[in-house]
Amino acid sequence: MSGRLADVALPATRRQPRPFVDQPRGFDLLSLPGLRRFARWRYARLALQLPLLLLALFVIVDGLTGRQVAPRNVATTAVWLHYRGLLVLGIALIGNAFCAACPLMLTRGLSRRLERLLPRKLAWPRALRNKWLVIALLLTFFLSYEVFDLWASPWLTAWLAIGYFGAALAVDVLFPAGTFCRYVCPLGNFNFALASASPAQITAVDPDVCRSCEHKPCLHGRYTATETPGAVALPLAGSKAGFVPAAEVVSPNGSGFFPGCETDLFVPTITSNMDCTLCLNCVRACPYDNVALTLRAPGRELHHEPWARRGRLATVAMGVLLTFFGVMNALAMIPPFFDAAERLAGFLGTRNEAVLLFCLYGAVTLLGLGVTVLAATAADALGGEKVKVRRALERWGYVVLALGVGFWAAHYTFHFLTGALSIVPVFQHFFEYRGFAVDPNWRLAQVVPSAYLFGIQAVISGLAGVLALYTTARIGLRDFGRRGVLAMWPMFVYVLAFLALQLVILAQPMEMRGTILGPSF
Amino acid sequence: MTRSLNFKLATLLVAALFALMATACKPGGETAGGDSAVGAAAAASGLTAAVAADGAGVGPATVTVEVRDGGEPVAGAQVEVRGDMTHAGMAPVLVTTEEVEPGVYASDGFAFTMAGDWIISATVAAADGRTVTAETFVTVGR
Repeated sequence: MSGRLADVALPATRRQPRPFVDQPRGFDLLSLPGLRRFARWRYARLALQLPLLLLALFVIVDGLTGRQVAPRNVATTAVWLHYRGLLVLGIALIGNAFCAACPLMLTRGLSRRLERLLPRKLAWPRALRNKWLVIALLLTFFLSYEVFDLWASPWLTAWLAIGYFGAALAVDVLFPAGTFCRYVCPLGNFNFALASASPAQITAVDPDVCRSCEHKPCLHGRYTATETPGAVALPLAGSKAGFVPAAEVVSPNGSGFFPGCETDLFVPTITSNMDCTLCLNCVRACPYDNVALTLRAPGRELHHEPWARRGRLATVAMGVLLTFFGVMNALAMIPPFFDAAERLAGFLGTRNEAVLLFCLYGAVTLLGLGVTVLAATAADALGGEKVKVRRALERWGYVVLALGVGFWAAHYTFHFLTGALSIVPVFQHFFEYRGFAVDPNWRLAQVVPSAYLFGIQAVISGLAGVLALYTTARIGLRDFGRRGVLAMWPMFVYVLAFLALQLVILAQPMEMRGTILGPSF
Repeated sequence: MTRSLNFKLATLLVAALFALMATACKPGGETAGGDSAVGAAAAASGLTAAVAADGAGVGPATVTVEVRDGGEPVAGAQVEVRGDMTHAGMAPVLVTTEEVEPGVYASDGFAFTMAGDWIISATVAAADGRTVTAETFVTVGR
C-alpha cells in the first residue's frame, strides 16, 4: 500500500485492491517530484489558467485594436496556429491539458455572484444531456470557420474569444457547474474526444479506499476545517459536499471548500478521458490523497467501450463525425476541393459560399458516415451478430475515432511546425504597433524544413493507423471470440482505405484561400 | 479566497472587455480586400505609393512600387516589399527593391511560395525622411 495511505482505516480482510472497473495500473505521473504537491495546492489550477488568461487578453486586445493582417496579429497566430498545435501536442504527451488551463472557468467567481440574483439554478434540459448539441455546435463552428475565414480575421477571432467567455458565463450562471464543459463547449468536447488516445488518465490509487469513503469528495467536493462539524456553517447549502475534519486529511492541503468533479466523474469508475477536463479537482478534494494520473498505453480506452456509460450513440457519433469534419477541414485547403466547389456551383447554379460549403460538408460527412456504417455492419455480420446499425456504430466507432485523432494531429502539426516560431515576431509586432521600439524578427517562422513536413505527417498518420488496426483487432476478439478474426476484416480494409485517402490529401499542395470559388481578390 | 480572487479577475476581465468593445470598431482598410490585384495606393504628406504584383502563380514574381510626390516621381527612396499569406504562421517573403526608372522600384527575388491569398506591402522611406506604406491583395493560383 502507498505510504501516504497509511493513516486511512481499511478493512482488515483486504488483501488486494479490488477495482470498481478496469483502470490502468501504470506509473503515476503525480509521483514525479513536486507534482503531487503542486496538484493538491489550492491555487494549482489558477496558476495554470493565468497564463492562458493573459494570452486571451492579448488575443482580444490585438484582435480588436491591432493590425488586421492575420500573420502579424496575436489573435489569429495564437488561436489558429499555436493553440491548435499545442493542444495536439498536449493530448499526445499527457492528455487534455488545455481544458486543465482553460481561462473561461475564471468567470466562475462572477457567475456565483450573478446567480444569487436568480431564484434558483435551472436544470439543464434532459433532452440536451448528451452530445447532440455539441455535434451541432461543432458543425456550426467548422462551417463558420470556412464561411467567415476566421483564420484570416483577427477581428472575428477576438469576437469569437469574447463570445466564448460570454457563453461560458451565461451557461454557468443559469445552470449547474460543469454544464458548459460537458454539454456545450465544442472545443472542450473536441479535446475530450481526442484525449481518448492520450497516454494518461485519472485513476484511483487504491479502489478500496474509495469503497470505504463516505462522502465521495472527488465527486461532490468537501469542506474542511479544524473546528468540529457542528461549529462550522457549511458553504454551498444544498450541495452534496461533505465535511471532512482537517485532522483526517492525508497530506493536508488547507481548509475551506474543495470542489469535486463538475462533470460528474467518480474517480474509481473512470474508464475514459471523455468529460475529464484534467482540472485535478479530484486530486485536491480527495482527503485520502488517493487519486493518480496514471500512464497507460495510448488509446487503451478505445477497445474498452469507454462511452457505454457516457452518452453511448451520441458520444460515439461525435467521435466519428469529428473524424470527417477533420477530413473536410484539410480538404478545404487543397486544389481538388476548389475544383469540386466550382463544379458544384455550376450544377446548383449558385455561387453562395455558405450554401456550397454546407453541401460539401454534408456530402463528405454523410459519405463518410455511410461507408463507416457499411463497414461496421459488415463486420458485425461476419462476426455472426444480428445486424443493427446503432450497435455496429457503437462497437466500431472507436476505430474511426483513432483515425480521426491521427488526421487532426497530422494537420495541426503541419501548421504548427510551419510557423511555430512566428509567435516571437508577432508579439514583437504587438508592441511595435503600439509605439514601442521593437524590431520584429520576421525571419522566425518554420521549425523544421518544409521537406520534412509530409514525412512527419505520414508518421503521425501511420501511428494512428496502427492504433486503429490494433483497436479493430481487440474489439473483434473481445466481442466475437474466434469469429472476431473474420469480423475484423471489413474494418481493416476501411482503416487502410482511410489511411491511403489521408496520405493523398496530405500530399496535395496547400492553397490558403479566403474563398472556395475563383480568386479572392 | 479562490472564489473571491476569481470574482476580482472575472470582474476585471469583463470591465476590460467592455472598454475594448466600446473603443473597437470593425477595421476596414487593412484587409478589407477592396483593392484590386493590380495595385493599391497610399499617401502621406503628399508622398504617394502604389504597389502592384505581376505573376499570378506560385513561383517568382515581380512586385513594382511607384513612388510620387505631387505627381512627380520620387527617386532615391528606400523601398522594402513584404508578402504575407492571409493564414497565420506562414513565413513572410521579405525583399528589397531596385530603382528601375525614376520613381519606379522593382523587387529583387520576390517569389510566391504557396498558392492562396497574399497581402503585398511596400514600405517607402524617401530620402527626405518621409515614409509611406502601400498594400495590395493578390490571389495566387497553382
